[in-house]
Amino acid sequence: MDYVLQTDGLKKNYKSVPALDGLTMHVPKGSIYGFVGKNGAGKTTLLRLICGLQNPSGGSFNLYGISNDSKDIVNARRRMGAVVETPAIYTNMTAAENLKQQYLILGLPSCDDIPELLKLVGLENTGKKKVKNFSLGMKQRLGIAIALAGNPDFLVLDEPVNGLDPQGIVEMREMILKLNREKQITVLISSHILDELSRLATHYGIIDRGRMVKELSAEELNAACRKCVRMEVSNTSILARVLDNMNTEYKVISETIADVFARVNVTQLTVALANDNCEVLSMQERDESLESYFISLVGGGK
Amino acid sequence: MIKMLRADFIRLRKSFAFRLSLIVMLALTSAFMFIQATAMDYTVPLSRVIFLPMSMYGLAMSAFVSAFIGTDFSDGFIRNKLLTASCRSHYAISQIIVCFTGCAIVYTVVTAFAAGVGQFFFENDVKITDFIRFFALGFAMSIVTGCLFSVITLICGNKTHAIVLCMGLAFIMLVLAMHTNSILVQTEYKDGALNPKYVDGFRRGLNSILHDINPCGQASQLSSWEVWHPIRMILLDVPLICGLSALGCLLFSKKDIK
Repeated sequence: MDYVLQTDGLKKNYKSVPALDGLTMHVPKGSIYGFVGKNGAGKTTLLRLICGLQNPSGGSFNLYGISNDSKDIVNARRRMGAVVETPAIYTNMTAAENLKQQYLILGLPSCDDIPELLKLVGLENTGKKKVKNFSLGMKQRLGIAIALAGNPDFLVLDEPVNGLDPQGIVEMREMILKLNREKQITVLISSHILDELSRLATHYGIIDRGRMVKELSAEELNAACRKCVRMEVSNTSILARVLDNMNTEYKVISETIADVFARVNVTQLTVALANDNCEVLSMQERDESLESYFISLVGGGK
Repeated sequence: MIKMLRADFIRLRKSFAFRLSLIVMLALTSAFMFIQATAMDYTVPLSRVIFLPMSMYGLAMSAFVSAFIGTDFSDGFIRNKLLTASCRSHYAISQIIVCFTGCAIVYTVVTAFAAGVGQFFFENDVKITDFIRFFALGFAMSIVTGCLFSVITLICGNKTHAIVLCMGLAFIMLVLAMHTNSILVQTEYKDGALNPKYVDGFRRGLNSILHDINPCGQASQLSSWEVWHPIRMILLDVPLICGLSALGCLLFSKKDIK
């Protein structure tokens, strides 16, 4: 598999406090990579390191296969656009003037496609309105427009839906999906709004205290968070035999607990179990979300 | 770096801090000229007026430079610039060049305004060769001023802190310049007797160097139309500009940007 970004034991200490503690992650090309973690887990620190705003204290990372120690990392960084923390925009300029600044910095030959870029993010009608008078959502969208200047193939977004209203969140999601599908831009999104992330991401990386807890694809996550009926019975070996006879998928958790992954005829099942002297103690529908999966991995409230 | 310079010069042209500092300096120049023209009961020579506003130049430029570069940090645009920059030093050098250019523009406009308008209200005793010589010294002073405050802002990395720090330093430099000037203007004899306030030897040399190395001290010499060591002043300015720029690049390249 081709990776746009790979980190290997990446470390960053602020004085003696470790913000990243040997982080290893892999962002596949063409993916929308959801980077999940609690506040202070080290998400923004990682983004700062790959954007060259800070230097790692240890470990390394590759961008398009180019190591962070190589001089060519500068060229690799030019292929990415980023919105780290707040959108990086001059508040006393208009949206078009901000984009013009970015075009000049990038050395792009023409500013002709600025209106097109503004239209892409829905800011085509802002005219001479200064950015300081923009709403938070408009600023976020302008930040993304600036990150998209120069047609990057890797977009890094730090909490892109933070502070947005529901409509803004939907628009942001649609825009990210559009960029990924139509322009094949790989997107790395850091967020702790897990429900929103689960509607977008094709891959996930779960980070806690500067370490990668789990990396998995959306398919793997769906399998882990599959809908099921959790049954508590007096004997799961009898339950297993009965379910095998009924051609039903299941997973035994313990001697008394098992998850059943299909719609079952409850009466038929309980009668079959009763005939084999197996008691049904409880049945509960389970639908594990990304949130509960995340909490099960990193622990809640700690 | 050329790309970054182009972008920053366009930003300088539109900068509110730059325009405001220019307007404030022009207003101060007008006020100084008005006071000199009306408050004195003798005709004031033009030479006493041309560089008089330069006493406030350091304060105005400290505000402009710290606000201009500080905006990159407060608005976060520095992140876009560093993402595309070949190296950190290019960003630092670009900021230093743009800021000292801004300082030099303000200096040139204010001096030209004072010299031009002053001709109509004051006795013209200015020789063109002297004016060019003093103007060149002031030009170097403006570059040093721009460099100094740019480097402080780059290292500080926070707009509000940088404004407070730069303006505070400018004020200290102004007080120091007044102090060294008050020592250096003392004559050996006063009213036929030895002047107890006169210092010589090592202390005079030290005060003299401090006065020449301090941009506010340089400005005070220009405003009194009396530069004691012009060659030394220039010789101090050159390493100061190079040294400050190198120090700024070095410290900025190690700085963690948020």
